Amino acid sequence: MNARRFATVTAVSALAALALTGCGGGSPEAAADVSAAPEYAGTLSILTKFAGEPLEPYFEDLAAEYEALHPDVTVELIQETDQSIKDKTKTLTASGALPDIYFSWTGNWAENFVRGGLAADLTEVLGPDTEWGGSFGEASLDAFSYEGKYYGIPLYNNGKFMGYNKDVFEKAGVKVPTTFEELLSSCSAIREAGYEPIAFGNKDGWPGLHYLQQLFAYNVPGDKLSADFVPESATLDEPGYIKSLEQFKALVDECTDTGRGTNGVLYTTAQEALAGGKAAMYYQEVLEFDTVTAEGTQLKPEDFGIFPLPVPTGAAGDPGAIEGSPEGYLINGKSPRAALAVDFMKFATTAENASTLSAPPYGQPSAVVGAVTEDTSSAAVFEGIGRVNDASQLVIWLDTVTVPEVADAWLAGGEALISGDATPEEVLESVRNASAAAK
Amino acid sequence: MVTRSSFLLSITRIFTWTFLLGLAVVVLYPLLWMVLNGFKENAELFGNPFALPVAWNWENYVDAWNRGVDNYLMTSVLVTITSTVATVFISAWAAFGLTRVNIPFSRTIVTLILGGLMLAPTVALVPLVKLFQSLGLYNTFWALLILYTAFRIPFTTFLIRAYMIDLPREVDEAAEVDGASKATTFWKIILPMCKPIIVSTVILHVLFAWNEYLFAMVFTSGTEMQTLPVGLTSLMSKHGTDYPVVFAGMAIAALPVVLLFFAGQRYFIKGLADGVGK
Repeated sequence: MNARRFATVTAVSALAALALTGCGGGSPEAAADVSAAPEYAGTLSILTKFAGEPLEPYFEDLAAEYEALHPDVTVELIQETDQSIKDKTKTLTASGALPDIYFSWTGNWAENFVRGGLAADLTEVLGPDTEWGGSFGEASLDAFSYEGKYYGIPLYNNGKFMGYNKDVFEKAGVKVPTTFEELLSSCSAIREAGYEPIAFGNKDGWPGLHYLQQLFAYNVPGDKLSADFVPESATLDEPGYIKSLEQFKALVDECTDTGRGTNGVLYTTAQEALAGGKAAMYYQEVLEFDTVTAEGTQLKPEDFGIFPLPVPTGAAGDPGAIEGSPEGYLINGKSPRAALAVDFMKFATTAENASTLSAPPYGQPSAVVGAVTEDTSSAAVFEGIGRVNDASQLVIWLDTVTVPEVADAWLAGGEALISGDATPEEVLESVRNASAAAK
Repeated sequence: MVTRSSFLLSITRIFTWTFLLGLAVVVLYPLLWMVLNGFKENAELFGNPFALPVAWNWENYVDAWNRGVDNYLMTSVLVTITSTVATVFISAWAAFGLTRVNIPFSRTIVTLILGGLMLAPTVALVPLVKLFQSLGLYNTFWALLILYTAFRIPFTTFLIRAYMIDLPREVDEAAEVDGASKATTFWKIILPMCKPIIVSTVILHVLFAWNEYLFAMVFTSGTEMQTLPVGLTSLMSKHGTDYPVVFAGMAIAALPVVLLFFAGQRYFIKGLADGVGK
């Protein structure tokens, strides 16, 4: 291709690109009035994270029931998976086509929508003093609050616990540890009994951050911790950080069979090690409890127990904190049907629909108080959610609570710590640098 | 001397065979592994990933089929066939017009079409979502058909044009002398002569449309409208994936392409050798 022709081709493609992108102007904005009486007409669009079995029918059934109650309303569902929802949400947001109701994680993800004016302020209808807001656990509501305003409807709750095999503990003569040090010292007895003490797979990076965040909550005072998540106010100079990193490294070295190679183990492989009766413990989310004891696994529900990661002796932070956060839905701040959207979400979180969500086959522990009962949920899920509701505070996952740059530094740091490529001091230094650069 | 050279010859042969067999194992083993693991249970898969399955759980395949793979397969097959036909015919017509008919500004038109090659699909994503939403085509079969066709026309036209431009002019002239119209010349003479390149472009397009992920992920949602690459990811979840069912789904997804390959093996090799390599 000669130079002249190349110039023409470039010019033509640039023109084509301009023509395609140039049409994106701003659309007139209607401020959402969430407390108005809903007008039961039109199409209500919803972006969910419930695609695939067994969750897909939940919103389909809700939509069908809602349409039967209000015949002039059509509910349009866009159902996505855990993998696809990030890209889908980004594309829809960029093209100004965000649905009336959309899924959101807590932390930085939701905050971006709040800052961009895309999340309706629901304080009037969802604040803790309102009738609807009162039906949720307060910690769940707080997880979606920014600067004193409430934006998100928490749909289900989640928290991280150490799941253990009671039978293996008995064989090894080990009791449920009450301190972090006891946990470490129990590992050798379990290993002697022929089991891997703690199954841990950190191939994705985030499983390691879950340990770290729980330890930070124990070792770093709460107000300092919250300030350190925001680059503008972060100092990251509490001694608790180094302690936590050292404790995490000790756990990997003393309690896992994979040790320095843990970064090469899949999360699912570790999960399967507990479910298959090969490992004594595995640090997991409430949403996984029913998976590790599902039909066909070695681990029976009656042998499965949970406890929060034990608190290190002399920890300076909050010993009652549990790492976890709800996942929920935001209402599009620019939607002309915001009141109808609120009405639909009220319908989705009635006591009856909340119980349906918490029970099999869905098994998503609803954030509505009283929806998870001993009759409908498994014993472990019931206990876990009870502990989440009673926690002095919920600490949001480290990789979503802070900005992406800092989260990436923690991810890389956690992996380097496990593989022995970095010391706790070096890891903290790299995170400090990332935080300073993200200001 | 004779024995020495025949000895060398057989050594070379052994090496060639070993190399080719090794290559075959490298290509076939992962496929076989996928099919076999589709018969296992989760615990067995993680416990003995390389052993043969203890029991042949055909239920995994049935399960995968019932969990939406039937729909994904149907959508994938339909969108692949229709977009292949549309792309190849439109491109062949365009190439014919640009090489064998005197039309004004043909060079500019060629540049314009080839300019499309430089537009990355990712860049156009946001405006396309807006466009398709306003046209009511979002989350429809038409969205994928239009996108797959439009984005592959530049490349396909480029290939067919390069082949057609070298066909002797005398053929057209002979046809014209015999009273054939331009359309007849295209259908009866030029198109059959372009068979090798047409086969190549069909293969390339089928592989593209069958495996495309980005557009399918952004422009469709729900089991009804998703294609295999996107649909298979919905069989996996963060909390507890039934991997054997996923492998079974993947095996089902690979089957049509494997069958297509065996059915058209001759054309595949000939097409790729005659067409693209030209």
